[in-house]
Amino acid sequence: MKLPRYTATIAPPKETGLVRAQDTGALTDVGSAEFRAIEGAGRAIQQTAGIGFQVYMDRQALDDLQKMGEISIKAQESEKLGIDEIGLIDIQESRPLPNDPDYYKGDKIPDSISWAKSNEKVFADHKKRILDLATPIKNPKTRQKWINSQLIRGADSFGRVSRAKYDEYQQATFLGYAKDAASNGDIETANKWIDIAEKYGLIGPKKAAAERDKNIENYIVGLYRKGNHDEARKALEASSLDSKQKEILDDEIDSDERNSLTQAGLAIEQKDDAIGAGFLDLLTNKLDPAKPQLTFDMIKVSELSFDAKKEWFTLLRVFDNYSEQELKEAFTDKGEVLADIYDKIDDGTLTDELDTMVGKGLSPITAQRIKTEVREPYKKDTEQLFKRIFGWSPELGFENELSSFLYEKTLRTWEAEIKAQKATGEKIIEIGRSIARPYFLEHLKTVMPSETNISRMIELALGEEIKEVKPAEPTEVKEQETVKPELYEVGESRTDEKGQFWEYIGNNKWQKK
Amino acid sequence: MTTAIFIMAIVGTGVQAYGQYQQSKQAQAQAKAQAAWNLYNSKVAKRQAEAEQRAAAFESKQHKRKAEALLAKQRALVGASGVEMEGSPLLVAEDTAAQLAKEAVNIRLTGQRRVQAYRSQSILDISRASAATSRAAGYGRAAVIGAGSTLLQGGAQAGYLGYQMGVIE
Repeated sequence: MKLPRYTATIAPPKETGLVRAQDTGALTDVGSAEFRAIEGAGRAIQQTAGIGFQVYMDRQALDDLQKMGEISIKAQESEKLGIDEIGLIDIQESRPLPNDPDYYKGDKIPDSISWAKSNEKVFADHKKRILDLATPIKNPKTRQKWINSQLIRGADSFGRVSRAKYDEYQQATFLGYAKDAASNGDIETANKWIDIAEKYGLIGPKKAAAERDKNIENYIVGLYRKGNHDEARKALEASSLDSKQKEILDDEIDSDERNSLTQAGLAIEQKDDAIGAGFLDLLTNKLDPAKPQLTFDMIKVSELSFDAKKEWFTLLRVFDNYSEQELKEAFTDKGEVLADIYDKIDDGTLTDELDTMVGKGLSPITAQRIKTEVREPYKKDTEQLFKRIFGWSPELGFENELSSFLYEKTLRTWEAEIKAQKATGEKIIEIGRSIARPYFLEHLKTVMPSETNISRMIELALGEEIKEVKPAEPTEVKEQETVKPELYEVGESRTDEKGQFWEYIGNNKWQKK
Repeated sequence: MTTAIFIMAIVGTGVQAYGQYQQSKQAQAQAKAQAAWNLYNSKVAKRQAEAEQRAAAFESKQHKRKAEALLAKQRALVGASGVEMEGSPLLVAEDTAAQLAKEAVNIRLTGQRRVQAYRSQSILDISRASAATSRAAGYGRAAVIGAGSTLLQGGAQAGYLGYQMGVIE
């Protein structure tokens, strides 16, 4: 019998016992947070540095801006200094002049090299000053930018100033040549210089046209100043000047002609006086025959004027016929007459009275002595006092005898006014000026050439605008102004150097006879 | 003051670069760890598949033994009753055998499917490990490049600062 057998069922396990890895932490970000924080910290530090940098740069920009304001003013001073240095450059040392044989070659005056060279040292000095000034600017780029702008500006200024200086010099040279040529009668050469100046762009067409007109004017002025008044009138008539210019020039020619005659007349009179003084001494010798005597031949060959010779011939004939007693009387002053004449000195009307007094018994010798000696202290006093009032003495005024008396009278009025007002200090000078000005102006109008700018002269002499000052004129002054002194009697005749006879028609005017 | 700002700019750059570098290195380490764990899981799945295969084979073998025992018992009962193994008894035996065979096939197929599932899991885990390894390499390169870029940029900026402030010429 077969017994059933039992077999144990040992099933192998379905599970291995191994567990799958799930959420082990390997995929979890556990460490990067720390490093993200570190990176953030680094970024924060970097950004802080950036902010600090920005603050620093902003502050630096403000500082630089402030510094640039300060040093820009100094830079301008440096520029001015450079311009002043250019002003001191002697152009003639570095610039060719028209007498250079190569001067006119080409289309341009060869000046650019000269003025550029003259700038080199000036610019180098300016650059050094600018570099020194730029030191306080902290930002290198800002500093360099400022330096560049200043140097460009300086170079431009120096160039312009130099160019203008050279052009001005050249222009003045050419126009001066033109004026000289025209004044010397060579109007063709004068116009050539104007053409050259215009060709090289130193002057424009409008100025060139004006300068050509000036050439004509200078030509005419040159003529009449040499005494060629008729030629000057002819040239003026033939010129292309406009009517206004012609009228002005015509007046100038007339005035110059009158002045030349007046001056000639004054010169003759002074010469007559000087010779007459010597003749008077000789005339006195008639009381002593042993001494040299005045003769008709001496008068004849003398340099006296025609009229003075006639007067001296008459006087000598009269004295030749005088007896010894009459001669003694003639050469002896009568006391009351002498007293009179000294009163006249005080009145300042001496010259007008001298001839009259001689007729009344004043010795001609005494009259001459008074003229030559007694008035001298007045002249000196006058000069000193005028210097005190104006800081300037009108010494030229003493060429005309009468004007000196006007001054003397002015001074007496001034002194009287000081006493009347009990003035002191500056007030004294103020009174003096207000009183003297009308006399001074009147005198200048009388003795100065007609083309003289009298207003300007007064302005320079008195240091103030004459139009702005209206002095209160004292009564005496008005009287003096209304009665214009006549140097000659109306109808009086004179001869000029050419032998032409002239008749005085009053108001300082002469007419040909 | 200018020197302090300049130093801060340099230090800040250095710290930032260090942070970036360490972050990338950290990510690299994590990726490497992930790859290792994925490989571990793939081995677990593989072991599970082998265990399932052995279990399925045993189950199939057990089923075969049970089937043979049942059929032997049926034949013994029929023989003891004196009934010939023909007609209905034979049909019952044949039907039993067919049912047992179906059951055996079913047991084998079920076991094979479970094994296949674990094998697939193992393959997927290997793929994940491979991807993580690649990521780890990328993080390694990123650490160097990122930190280098930061150093370059920060260095240039610090240089600009220093030059503007006159710390360096």
